[in-house]
Amino acid sequence: MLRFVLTRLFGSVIVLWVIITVSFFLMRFAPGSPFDADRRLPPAVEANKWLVFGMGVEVPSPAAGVVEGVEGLRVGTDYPEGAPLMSVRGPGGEVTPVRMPTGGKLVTVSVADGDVVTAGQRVAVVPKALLAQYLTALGRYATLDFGVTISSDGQRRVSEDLLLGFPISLELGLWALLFALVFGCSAGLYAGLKQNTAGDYAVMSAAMVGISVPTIVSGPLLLVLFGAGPALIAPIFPFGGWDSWEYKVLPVISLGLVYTASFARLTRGGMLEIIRSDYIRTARAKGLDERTVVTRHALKGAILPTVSYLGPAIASIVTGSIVVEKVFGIPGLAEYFVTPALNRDYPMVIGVVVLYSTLLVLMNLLVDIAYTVLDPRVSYD
Amino acid sequence: MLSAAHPAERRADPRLRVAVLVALAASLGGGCGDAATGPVVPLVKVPEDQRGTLALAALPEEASAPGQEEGAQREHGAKGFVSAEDIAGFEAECEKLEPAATEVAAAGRTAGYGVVYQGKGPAPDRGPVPADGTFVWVEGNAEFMDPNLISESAGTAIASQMFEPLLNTAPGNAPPVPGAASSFDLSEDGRTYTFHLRPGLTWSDGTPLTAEDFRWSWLRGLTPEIGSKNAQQLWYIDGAQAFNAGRNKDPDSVGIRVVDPLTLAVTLENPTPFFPDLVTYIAYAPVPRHVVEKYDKQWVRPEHIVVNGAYKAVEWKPRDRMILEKNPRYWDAANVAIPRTEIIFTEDESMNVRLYESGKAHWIKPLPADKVRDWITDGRSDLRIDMQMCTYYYVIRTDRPPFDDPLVRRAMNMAIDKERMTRHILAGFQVPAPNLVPDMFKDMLGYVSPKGDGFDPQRAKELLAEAGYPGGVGLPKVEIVYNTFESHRLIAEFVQRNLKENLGIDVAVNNMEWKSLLKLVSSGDFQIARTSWCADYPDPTTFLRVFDSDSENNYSSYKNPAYDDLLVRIGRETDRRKRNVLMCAAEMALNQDAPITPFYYYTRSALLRPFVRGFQSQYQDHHLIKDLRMER
Amino acid sequence: MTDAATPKPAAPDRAAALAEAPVVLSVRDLEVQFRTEDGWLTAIDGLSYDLRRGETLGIVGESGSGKSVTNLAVMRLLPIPPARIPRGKILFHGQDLLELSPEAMRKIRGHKISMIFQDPMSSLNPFLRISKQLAEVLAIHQGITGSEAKARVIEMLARVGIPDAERRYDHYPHQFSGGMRQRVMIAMMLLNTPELLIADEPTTALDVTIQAQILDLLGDLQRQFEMAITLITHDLGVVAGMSDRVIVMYSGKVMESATADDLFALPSHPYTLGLLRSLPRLDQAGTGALYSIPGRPPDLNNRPPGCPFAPRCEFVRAECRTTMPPQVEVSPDHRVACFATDEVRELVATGRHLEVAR
Repeated sequence: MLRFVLTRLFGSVIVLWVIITVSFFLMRFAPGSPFDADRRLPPAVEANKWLVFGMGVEVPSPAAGVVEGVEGLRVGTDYPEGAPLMSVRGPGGEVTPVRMPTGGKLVTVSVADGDVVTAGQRVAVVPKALLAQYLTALGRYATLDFGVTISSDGQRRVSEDLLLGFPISLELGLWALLFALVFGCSAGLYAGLKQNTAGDYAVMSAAMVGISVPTIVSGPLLLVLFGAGPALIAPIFPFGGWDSWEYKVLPVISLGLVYTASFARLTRGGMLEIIRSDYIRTARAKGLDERTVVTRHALKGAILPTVSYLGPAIASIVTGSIVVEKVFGIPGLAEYFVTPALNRDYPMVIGVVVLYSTLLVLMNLLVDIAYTVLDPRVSYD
Repeated sequence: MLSAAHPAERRADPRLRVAVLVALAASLGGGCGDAATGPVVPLVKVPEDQRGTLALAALPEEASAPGQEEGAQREHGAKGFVSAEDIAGFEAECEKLEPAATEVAAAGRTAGYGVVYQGKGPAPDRGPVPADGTFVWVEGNAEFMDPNLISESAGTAIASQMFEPLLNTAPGNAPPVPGAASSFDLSEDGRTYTFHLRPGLTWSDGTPLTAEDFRWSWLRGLTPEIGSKNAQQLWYIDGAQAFNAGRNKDPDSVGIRVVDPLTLAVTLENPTPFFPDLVTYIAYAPVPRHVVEKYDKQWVRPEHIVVNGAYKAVEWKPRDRMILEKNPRYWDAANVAIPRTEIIFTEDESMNVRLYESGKAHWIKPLPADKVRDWITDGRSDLRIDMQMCTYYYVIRTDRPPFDDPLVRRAMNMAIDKERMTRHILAGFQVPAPNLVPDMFKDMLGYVSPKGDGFDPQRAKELLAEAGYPGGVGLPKVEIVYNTFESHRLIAEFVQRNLKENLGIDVAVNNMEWKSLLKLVSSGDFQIARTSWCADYPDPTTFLRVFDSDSENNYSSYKNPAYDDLLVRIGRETDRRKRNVLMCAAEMALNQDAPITPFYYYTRSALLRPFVRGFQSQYQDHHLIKDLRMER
Repeated sequence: MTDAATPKPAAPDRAAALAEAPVVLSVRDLEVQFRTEDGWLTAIDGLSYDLRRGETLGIVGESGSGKSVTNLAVMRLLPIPPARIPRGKILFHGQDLLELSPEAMRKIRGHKISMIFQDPMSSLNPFLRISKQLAEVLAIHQGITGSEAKARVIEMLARVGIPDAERRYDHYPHQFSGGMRQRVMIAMMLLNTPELLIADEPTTALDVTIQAQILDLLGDLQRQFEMAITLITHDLGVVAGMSDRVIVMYSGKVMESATADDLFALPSHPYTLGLLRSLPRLDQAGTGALYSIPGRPPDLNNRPPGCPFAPRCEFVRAECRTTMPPQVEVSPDHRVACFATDEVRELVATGRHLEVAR
């Protein structure tokens, strides 16, 4: 078992690396940069930001001399690698061209025609080669340094922001999961034991409704019914934060509802199958009362389908929480799913991606381990 | 970035012939006014091979007075822009149009100006005045509290409560009132302002606040390494722009001089009548040097922050909320009625409404358009709708066929029924725009805008035929692009229908994600783009300057030296009436050349609990909580 | 398969002892029906037998003969909504089990009457350790828990032949081989020393060599505990080795019942004959296909009137198809339900009854 866990952990690191790499490059392929804004930044300012955030490099003058050829340049547009930018005419009349080192946006030109420059003096700022950026970033990630966020202009660290929202989102998700497991499994077990009775139909209909109602509907609906302010039923629960338990009830229910329904169906199915098995007949043949038969013998097997579904369910809860957090105004991580990507805040995007991937990988590992605990026939040795 | 193709290759891509609409000012919340400043139209240098014939051919004399009530008659002429002679002609027109000098002199700024809707109906009771006296409002998530770094309205709104500049925004649209400075003088040539600070001012930690603090703060904002996004507002100061661009490294080259600890002299490049308004902006607020130098970027954290304004941050949870408490060391603390204020960060209009209706929030904006419609019908009295100094328009690349022909541009303008658009699609009393500059300056400056072409489909058809496309036949493909947002889509589709009905031309509309559009537009690859501009300061020039050839915000590639010259003259003119005349001529030039199609002037709506007193409409939506109080 | 046509001769004193033993179970005229879409289907029609202490009764028949249903009926493990018992009595020490309350029946199940099942892998709970599964039987019926329970379980495991019982006590079912699992099952069901053990095809799922071991084990335990055993099987070889008495069932009815010796010496029913013929014989190995009774197994939904075996019977007469032959005692304690029994017995007397055209 230990070996199994270690192998899985090692595999997870590989998976994370792949995810980081794919995200890194995918993000850069989206057009635009973090510094594009409706108010265009003065080029000198923008250039500085590119350098500070490690996204840009200076283009040094190859020689001393007089600059020419800057006039036709379109700052802010893309130039391919090797495109001529300008040239420097040396004292002896020799002309040395200056070319784009990498394809990309010409962020700024620091000199004008006629300026006298020394060798090595900055003449332009262009994007740093993507591979170089990637390797630098990777080096930092290996030490768990995810850097600072671009949208805060470097004031806040990625880890800091994520750690603010993470406990909240985690708590929301876990409560929702717990809610779903408790109510879903009990409902499913009940329905499975009382197959084809009114109770069974009631539970399964409710489950159907639960699965069909997405969080974007159940959330506002719960708010309308029970939220503070003008409520249709009773204004019991406040919203807009995560302060006390009253704030947590409705979001947890909203998020958990879909999974409650899924777990109910799965558990019912599991129970239906188990209750017909031979060993249940054996248990009865031993003279056990029905209650003991169900709880001691049937239960473990009946919840197995639910346990196998836990892995994907957790992933789904994590993404489902985005809607719930938005609807209820919960300051969790939902913000960070979409906004940094839209703002091209690269460090933050990677941070979010890593956080969620790690979470999912770990959760799946835990689920697999839980499975072995429940079903002794399965072993990873 | 990586996908950069060579310009020549890009031209071959049919996609590029598509017009790209840039929705600049509309972020998620929709509507301008989210940004403290309006949208930027960056200047794109057009390479040789793509330049149209922008030669300023002499244009035939105008037969009739341009830009008055209905569509101006423009003789069929060479493609190009208005010339210096045309402008001289406009000036003559404007002399007759603009209010007399006496009126100009009398123009003051009246409180309550710009209110568009006043509900007479009930205001639902959502709860009592909070017992702990905490005033709760909402904002979008604010990234920055550092006055030198703030660029969005959320940060501005909050930081303005904490850092007091030399002058303060007055309630309503009144001119600025004394802040840290108790008075100021203006030199004869209108270029040097001398501010007199109140004696005995301190920061919230007791450190004395002097004129040197202001100088240091403004220079910090101008320092290129800081990368301030609002430094442009300081460029009116002599030498500031060069210093900010890094061309001049000597801080003494910037026209800020500490005469003595209580006196600051500021010299401007040009006489700038709206400079006092500028001074109230957050870019001009002071920052505590001793704290900034000690904590660097972390100085704004609640545990470190030191302020000179009425409030100080005691709690800041990004994306969640912020709490400010009264600063006891504020010089006017005795008159600050509200002891504590909480700002809830939301990005969602529906959440705003929920917070308000549940009694939690006392002031919310923006509001969902459909709800606003209903509330207007109910006559709800806690609903406030004011005019905003922002214009929604389509910017047109004037160097790409068919829109390199001003006749085509004007035909398009005349073919759109803006009246109907504002009435049927928008909810909040928006005002249809016949010209670029919103109609808000009569009271403030005695300035009246010359009206542009009105809705005249018949004339539009004629112009289009004159341009060589009778009935729309032969017109190259046209595409309008906008950023993804419901109302932009509705408007674009409305325009599409209008153009089809009235001109018989088929126009494609497309939406795109914001950053992608920004990129597309800044590279100039579009025909027609949706955008907007909000005033940086209360003066028409904030709009007019967008179309300066060198303006980074000039997306339309409108480069007219005659217009640029006119702007320079406006910048130097000290006589207020004369200045109005020149501005009017500039607007006429824009109406004529039509590099844009203006649609409407924005309004902004908010819900405010009736027990909040002292709140008045302000053209920039700058409100100081220290001026408010809560009582039944 | 050994040459099972010749049963082990019962020790004469055994038969005598058995005849004296008290009757443990007495089934009287039992009818069991199941509800189907087409109405009520009769699975057992008029079954009667007695079972004495220490005796082994073998019930033989094909699938669909109703043999398994009998046991489930005795244990009252038949789910009553689809099943019903319209007539009959099941007397255990004189008390009609069909009249008992569910609680009372539960006290008997697993205690006085135990049952072992065909497939030990699926009949043992894969999720629980066998320690738990076995100990619970002691706990519910005798209230024995803890270390005493553990001791008894280990002892029983050892007694059924599980090697290293102390260590394997905590294992899961899947950690045992097929034969071991059946022993575990037997251990589990015998912990409470029941008076009657019902063994439903206990060796069908096991290999030949293991089968023999299990049967021996059962025999030993029977002698030790003086249990009555009902052994259900389709395999005559098994019956021959272990049973004292045999009932042959077909389509829910008893065709023939006799002592094992009598049945094999003088099969008196065409079906029994057919079954005997179907057994492969060592002396006929390699001479072609195995004999199988011609025709198809009975369709319980569509029972023709008369003898259910008539469609396949080589001795069939006209009356067979219309009337069910009554049980006739052809010799002491040997009953047959057949109109043609004399013919069959004559054939058997020739000694050539097992020869068939192959």
